[in-house]
Amino acid sequence: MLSRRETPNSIEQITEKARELEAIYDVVEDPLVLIDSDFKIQRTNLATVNFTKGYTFDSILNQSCYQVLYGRKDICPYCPYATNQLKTSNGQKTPTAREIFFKVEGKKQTLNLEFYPYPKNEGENWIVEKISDVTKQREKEEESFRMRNLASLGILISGIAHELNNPLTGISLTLQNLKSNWQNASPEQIEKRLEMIKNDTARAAMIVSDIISFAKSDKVKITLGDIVETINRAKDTVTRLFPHLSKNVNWKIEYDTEYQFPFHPAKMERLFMNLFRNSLQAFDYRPGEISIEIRKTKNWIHIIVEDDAGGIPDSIIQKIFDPFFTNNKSGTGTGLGLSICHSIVKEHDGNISVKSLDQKTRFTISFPVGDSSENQA
Amino acid sequence: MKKKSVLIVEDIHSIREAIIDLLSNSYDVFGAENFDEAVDHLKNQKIDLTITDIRLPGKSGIDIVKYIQFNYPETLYALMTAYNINDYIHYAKEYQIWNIIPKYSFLDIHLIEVMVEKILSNDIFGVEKYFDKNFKIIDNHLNSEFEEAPLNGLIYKQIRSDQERSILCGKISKYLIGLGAPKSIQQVLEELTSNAMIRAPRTNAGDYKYQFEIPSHDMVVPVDNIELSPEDYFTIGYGSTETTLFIVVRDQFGSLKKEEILHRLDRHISVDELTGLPKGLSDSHGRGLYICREISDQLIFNIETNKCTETIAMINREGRSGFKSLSIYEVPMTH
Repeated sequence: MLSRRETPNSIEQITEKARELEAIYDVVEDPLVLIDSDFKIQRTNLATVNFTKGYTFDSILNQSCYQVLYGRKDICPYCPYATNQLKTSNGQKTPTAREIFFKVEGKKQTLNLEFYPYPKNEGENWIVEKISDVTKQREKEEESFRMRNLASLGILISGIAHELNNPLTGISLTLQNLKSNWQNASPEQIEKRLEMIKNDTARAAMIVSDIISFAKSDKVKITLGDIVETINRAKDTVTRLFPHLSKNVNWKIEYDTEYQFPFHPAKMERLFMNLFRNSLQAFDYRPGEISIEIRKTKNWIHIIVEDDAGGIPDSIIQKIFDPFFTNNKSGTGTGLGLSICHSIVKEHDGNISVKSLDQKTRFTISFPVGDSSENQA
Repeated sequence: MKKKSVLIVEDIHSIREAIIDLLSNSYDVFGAENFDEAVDHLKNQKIDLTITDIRLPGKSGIDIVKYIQFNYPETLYALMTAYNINDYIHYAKEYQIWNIIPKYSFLDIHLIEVMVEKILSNDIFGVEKYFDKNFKIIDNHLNSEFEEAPLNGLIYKQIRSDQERSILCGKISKYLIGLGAPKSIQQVLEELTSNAMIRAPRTNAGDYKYQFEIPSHDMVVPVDNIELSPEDYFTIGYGSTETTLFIVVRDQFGSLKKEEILHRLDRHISVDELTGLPKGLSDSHGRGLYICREISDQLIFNIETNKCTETIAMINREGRSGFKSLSIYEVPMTH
């Protein structure tokens, strides 16, 4: 490398050093381009010539960088030079980088562009752009992401299998009984068994719809709905589906008036069903209370769901909205409930947060509603 | 005669009701959702048999077993689970649990009925208990050569020597494989018959009759070309129904201890925490029963001490296999 302490003292020596420098940056496989403040290319390396296809060393110089490199007629929309991103508040120039998709001869590439500011004169900045092809690297990362997803899918599936097994076994055993003695059974007995099959089917259906609503998040079909009514419906559904879990649980719902705002009714119901089911599972048949408070501030509706089922340990509270995270004993949950809640809230541009203190867990869900006086007018 | 009483502890309403429905014609049946309710029932009336789910809200089915053992030693018990029964083999060994039923949607509810009848009576032998009234048994061709079993039934053959054993086992396995059994059924035949022929026969002093121990090498070696004496003959039954293929091996000794069965299974199923591997992996002791259980969909042991050990291996022909049950029955000792 050129050492700055060696001062060249003749034109020959300078030329010699320039050739040495040229040799160094010509072996770099990534294109390196020096661009002036008018977006004209001033210096470049061999890799750049190869990258541009069709230009030579001489024809590149003094051409617009966006045209030569990317075939554009105008400055690239993300150009940090044009958008002044290189200047920070204290006037310091910092390098910046950006990833773009770029098609070369029909092949889609992922390029990582790095921009290094080069202070040319007082008040004038040039830029060194380095272009790296990171397509393969990104593909590998995506592959490994998919593998991790597959692994968690395996865990998910075995959880679902267990969840489905219980209602299916109930249905199967009840049907075997019915088949062997329906002729001698009274209508009441038959009715009772059919009712059990119906309840088990509803349980299985709920598990399946859990999975479906996670797998496809279709566009929200929003209608004006009453949130209090939706929450009550969710409560009723959950107590119907989990009659034993909810037997000793007292419900308290507090609100001032009815609150209407636009939301997706089915998803909103599922959001609260998942929250309530989570609380019920946390009670694990113990007695307790789930209290729900609905409050309105100027631009938000807040729904606060609190239970006293023991709280969530600090060590896991950060993870509870992650897909597949479950604190249930192996196999009793899909680990999707709260992450579905999270995505439903986000689809409605809302926020969900959780706090746990003194054996209590409190979820606060907020939705933007605009000024209600305007809505009613 | 007063009906015997059965307590079902199961938190899933429909499963509990289905089992109560099934049993209430023949027994007084009580239902409980959890430990506390089960204890109430046990206190209120004499319960002959408790069938409990392992995972319950709050205290577990194993807690119920411990409670029964301590407070009601006369009450018999069996477990059920929707989880892998292998995960509980270690508990089974520790707490003397002999029967665990897998809860899954292909479970034939009739199996629960048979289990209850077998546990509550001294009548435990016979594969026919698992099938319908039309099941045919041929037990008067004991000494003739191999022949096909009746459809929906079984045929018994007697084995008197090593040579007979190998000829008959070869033919039976070919026959069962023809009916859809996996090739590994040969292994099951080999293991079960060698148990009956070599391990079961003992002298009054408890010594093996047809194998000798080499303590210096920690080995037992069977005698060559065994010719059993008449009191040591054993029988093998084989046959099929529409849904099931099965092998039955009966000896005249009843020397296999039920604790020994759990001990052997546990060594090959439960993982040693230090090594992460089953203990039995590092030696050659008692792998046979484990292999039989792995290959068959059901492996059932019926024991009357000093009289008979009957081992039944069943293969489901429709591929409807779930977790494997634990099925060990013993005629209670009369004092």
